[in-house]
Amino acid sequence: MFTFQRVTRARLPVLAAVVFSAAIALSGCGSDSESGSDSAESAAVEVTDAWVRTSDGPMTAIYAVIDNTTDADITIDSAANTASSITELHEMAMIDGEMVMQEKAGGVVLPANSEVVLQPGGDHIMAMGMTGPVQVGDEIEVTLTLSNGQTVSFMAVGKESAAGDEEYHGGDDMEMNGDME
Amino acid sequence: MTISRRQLLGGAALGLGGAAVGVGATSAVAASTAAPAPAQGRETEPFFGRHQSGIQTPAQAYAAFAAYDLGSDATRETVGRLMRLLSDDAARLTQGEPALADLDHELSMSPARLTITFGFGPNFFNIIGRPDQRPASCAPLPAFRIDALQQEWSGGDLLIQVCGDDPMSVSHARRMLWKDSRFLATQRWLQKGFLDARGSQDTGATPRNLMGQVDGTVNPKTMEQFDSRVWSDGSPQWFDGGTMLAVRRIAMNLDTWDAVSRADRENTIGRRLSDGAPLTGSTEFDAPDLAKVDARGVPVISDFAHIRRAHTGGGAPFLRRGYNYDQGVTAKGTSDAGHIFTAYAADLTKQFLPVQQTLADQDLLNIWTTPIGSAVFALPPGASEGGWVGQGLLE
Repeated sequence: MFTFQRVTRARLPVLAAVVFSAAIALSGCGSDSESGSDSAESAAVEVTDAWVRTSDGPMTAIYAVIDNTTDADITIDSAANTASSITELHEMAMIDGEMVMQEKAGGVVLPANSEVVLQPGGDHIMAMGMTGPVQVGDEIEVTLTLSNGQTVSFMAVGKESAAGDEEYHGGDDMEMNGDME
Repeated sequence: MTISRRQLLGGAALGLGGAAVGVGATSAVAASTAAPAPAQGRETEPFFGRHQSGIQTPAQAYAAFAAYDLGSDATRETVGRLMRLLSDDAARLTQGEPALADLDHELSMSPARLTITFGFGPNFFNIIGRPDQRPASCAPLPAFRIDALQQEWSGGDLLIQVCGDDPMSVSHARRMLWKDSRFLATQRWLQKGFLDARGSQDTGATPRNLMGQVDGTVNPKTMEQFDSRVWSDGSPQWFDGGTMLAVRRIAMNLDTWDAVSRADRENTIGRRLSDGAPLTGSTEFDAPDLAKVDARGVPVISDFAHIRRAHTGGGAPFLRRGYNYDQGVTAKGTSDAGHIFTAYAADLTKQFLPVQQTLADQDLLNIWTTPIGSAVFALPPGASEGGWVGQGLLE
């Protein structure tokens, strides 16, 4: 009765490309890879529903659904994107009774065979030192570097959102801004 | 039916990764545990296809027609970005999936045959710098002597028609699409309408308007009829598979209609109230016999009956897919209700205008009805998977 359908979630042509660092890929992919076969490596993680909050300021946040399709935990060690000079992995954490945004120590862990949702109010990718505005419908390329040596690139589309306004309220001020209807 | 893997995996993700992935993932799991909607709520209509849905689709119970004006930032480039986003939203929402960046996941889970249909007004083609690509009949209708048009119900650059059997999903989709449009658009008008609730009438029965009349009997039914009457065959080329739409808000004076006897109501239209059959026939779909006279030599279907005028006015058949509206009473205490009239045609000028002109000239129904709004849009062909509505024009 139920089908496990992912395709409905990737309506925008989210371009997910897996790029291997050759040396690391060989060491990390088991004996078969040593043969020199150029059959396509399967991506360890799949990224869907990626979006970036529109911004004309110094920072913005990137969100996505990240699926670890392997039987082992994988960590996102770092990220980069084409719209800013600095990219960090952030989390919202309760510290001294207050929700604050901070860099996520040790990166974002993707448990085996699980999806992790990066979304407003939770873990997210922080773009800082923006090189230009991100407008509605713009696409930026985001690259994740994984603990298994792979890098994964995908496109995130610009959407307006009043939620998760981390750059202004990520510290001790969580009240909503004036954009609410 | 389908259910997203995220929903099914939510519990597992919490168990395995709750400690590691922190606040965000945990709240996502909590938000994804709503039970699937009952069968009728899960029913979907396709978004991708040769034609946009919401036209040939059997009429759903509720509709919201939203017309937007595009602002000074609108260019072919920005409008293209808008249509790409809106198409993505529509593709997801109609299939019961939340739009990208929408945190109200639950409001998308009962699409109930939701359809989202886009249309471009006459000035749209100037805005995007392609006036030569405007279909010939995408122009404001001429003024008719019966008109009492109000600007607040007329015109518009971009139409978003949202139809569905559940007013909750219609409302949510309407607002989600607005949120992704407001960087470029302002709302010009919104017309909300209704038909019978799903299941309260036989499937496929011709609906009634608020004057009690069976309304829409002569609609196209077969694929061949839709191909010849509704879908453009490509004039201009990008419009192949699209259709033209005239939306007219028709106020009904139900207070004076109340004073009319049932016999005179039937004479006004030329059809029986009980089943919509022409006064010369026995079932709804019998062709009216306009030559038939009674024992005194008087035409059975009156000279100025609505269906006689509509049949003799030239033009060609088109699709009607209207909805009723009911705003209660005006400040003066008179009825504020009527019909959101829609005509979908490959060419409004050839098919619809001659009929409309004939009815405007003489039609008993005009005594109780007044057009108060009028707008025309070109509804592009549908998008294929991975594409977006309007791509052939805007890219």
